[in-house]
Amino acid sequence: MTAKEFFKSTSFKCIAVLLSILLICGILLTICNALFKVTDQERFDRVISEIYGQSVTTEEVKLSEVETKFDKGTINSAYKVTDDGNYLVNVSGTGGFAGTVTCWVVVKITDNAVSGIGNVIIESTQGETYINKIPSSAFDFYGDNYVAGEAYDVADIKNANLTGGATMSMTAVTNCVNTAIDFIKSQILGEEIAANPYADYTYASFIDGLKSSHAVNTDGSISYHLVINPVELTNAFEFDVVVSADKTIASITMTVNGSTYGFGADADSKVSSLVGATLDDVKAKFTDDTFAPNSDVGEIFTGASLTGTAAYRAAAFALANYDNALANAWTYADFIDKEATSYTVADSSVSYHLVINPVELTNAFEFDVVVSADKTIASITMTVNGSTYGFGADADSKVSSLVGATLDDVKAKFTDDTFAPNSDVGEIFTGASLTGTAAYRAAAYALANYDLAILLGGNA
Amino acid sequence: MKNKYGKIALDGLIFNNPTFVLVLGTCPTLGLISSASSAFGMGLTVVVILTLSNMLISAFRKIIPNEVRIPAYIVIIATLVTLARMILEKLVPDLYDSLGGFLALIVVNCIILGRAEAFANKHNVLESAVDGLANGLGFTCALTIMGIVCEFLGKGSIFGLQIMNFKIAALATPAGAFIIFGLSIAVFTYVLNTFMRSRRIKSNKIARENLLDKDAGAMPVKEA
Repeated sequence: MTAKEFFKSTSFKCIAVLLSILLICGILLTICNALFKVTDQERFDRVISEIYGQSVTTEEVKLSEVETKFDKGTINSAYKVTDDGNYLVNVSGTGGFAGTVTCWVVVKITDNAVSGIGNVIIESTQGETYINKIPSSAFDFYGDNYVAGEAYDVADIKNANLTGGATMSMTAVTNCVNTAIDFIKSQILGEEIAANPYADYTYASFIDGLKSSHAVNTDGSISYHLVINPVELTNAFEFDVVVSADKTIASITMTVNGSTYGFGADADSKVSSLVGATLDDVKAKFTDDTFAPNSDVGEIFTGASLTGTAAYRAAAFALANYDNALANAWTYADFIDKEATSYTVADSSVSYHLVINPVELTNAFEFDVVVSADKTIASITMTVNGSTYGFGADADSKVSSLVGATLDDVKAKFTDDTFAPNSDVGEIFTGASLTGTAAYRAAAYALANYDLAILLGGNA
Repeated sequence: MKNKYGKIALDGLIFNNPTFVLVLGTCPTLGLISSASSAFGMGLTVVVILTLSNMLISAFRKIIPNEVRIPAYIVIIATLVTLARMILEKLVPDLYDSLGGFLALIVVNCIILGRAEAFANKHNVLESAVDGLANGLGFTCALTIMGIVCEFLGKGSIFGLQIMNFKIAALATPAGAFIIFGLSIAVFTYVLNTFMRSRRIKSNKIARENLLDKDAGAMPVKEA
């Protein structure tokens, strides 16, 4: 075909017409976008108008100076409403049907503390086609049911029949509200919010880290109580899982069934079929590491695939994190500099070299502690005195007064497990309470972790 | 000429109603009829887009080669839908929010592509505009009527105005919408068939009378 023939052909006409249409449409859309674009300020004004019905003065929070990414959401912008002292937070929550949901959340402040939730307004969604089915009363739920210190649970909203069939979208909205509260508490008011202790664990996204826990048993097995996040439309599941030292499931029990359809009478037998499984066995049931429903190789838990997914996720988390759980099982680990601390085991006694983190204004302290088989302090010596005021000549005798003490004796000296200065019951180490705190923390750490140290056999 | 436009309009509105007779645009129908105002808003948006797309496609029907007509139609429809989204977001944000993802899905609404393919590319601009308007209004009426029924029974309200406390929550879900949709088709078909039958009987009767009159006129009169 010659060039002349090509330009006269239908093919060329098709290309030319399509390109022309595309060009005209593109130009038209560009012009209209410039004319009809809704600016951020316009969106913000709409929100203010919807919430307050009038203009209010606001003060933008500089997000560059604070943490904006949280477990279940991201803060996009935040404003302090100077008229009433509340905060208006724009936040994107995860967990929706097809992605995130972005909401404006009014966080009420009273006496410099979060006192409730005002309005919650959806700003935008990503493919949440059912989100408009959520009744407006669902958004009132947050304001009506705020409990200080407790996160909202979408299961409560669902139980109140307020999700309108859009459970996953409602989950994302709930995550928005919880994230906004966490943001205001931690980044604006300076409160400490509970950190997820399992954030760095494998498959951490499967579980609610704040509601899950684990303990190391004397035989080297680990007992978990795992709260598994909702799988698609279900509520959260809860499992008690024991992983034995050979990294197999020793036992697994579903204590809370999150299935909204009712799993039936054979739930326990199906879940218990995981006993004896290794991580490889669990992984082999799925095509990838998401353990997502419908990614199973051959159907698991016939007729109850979501429950099956939850059970397999619980098993996978428990098995994959055996070593992590063991390494993080040390009680009072916050008291010590883990990297600088060491211990040895010999003849059923444990010898520690402990570096105790600074107590308030002091430097770090160092102690050599030996715990005998009867779980009492056999000897304790302060090798480095972190006191910035100088502890004086009687340091050794004061520290050595802890010899023979049990964990209960040590605990009895304080009102709580923080062993914090000024939480002592009757003054310890008169005139040197910070050094006393360090010594008691060293003793508490050494005594509380005796069994674990024996189990692991030493790291030095 | 006037009768032609009337026929096109009646076809779109009643005899070939896109929702009740052709069963097109089922996705937004099932998704939005749980709220009468959403259904009405979606209907009006479709009226505008369908009328404009029919007019544009009719105007360009002699330019667009047959081989690439479908992609060309889709580009035109997508442009109109995007424009509608921009305008609604700017001027009617509440309606924009209530339509949600279904607004973008108008691009693939088979009523629009169906009318473009079945009507607009064979008729002139005016006829296509009437067809688009009629089909759009037929769709709007169907959606709004079902929206009123669904919202009334499912939420106890009409256009957001609470009427009663009794409600059948299932009817406010897509599953409930499906049942209402099916029942609406049954009722519409019954009424339409009844009307058509009575019209046919009436026209047959008239034809028969005409025939008798004609026969009577042609009969020879016997002389006394």
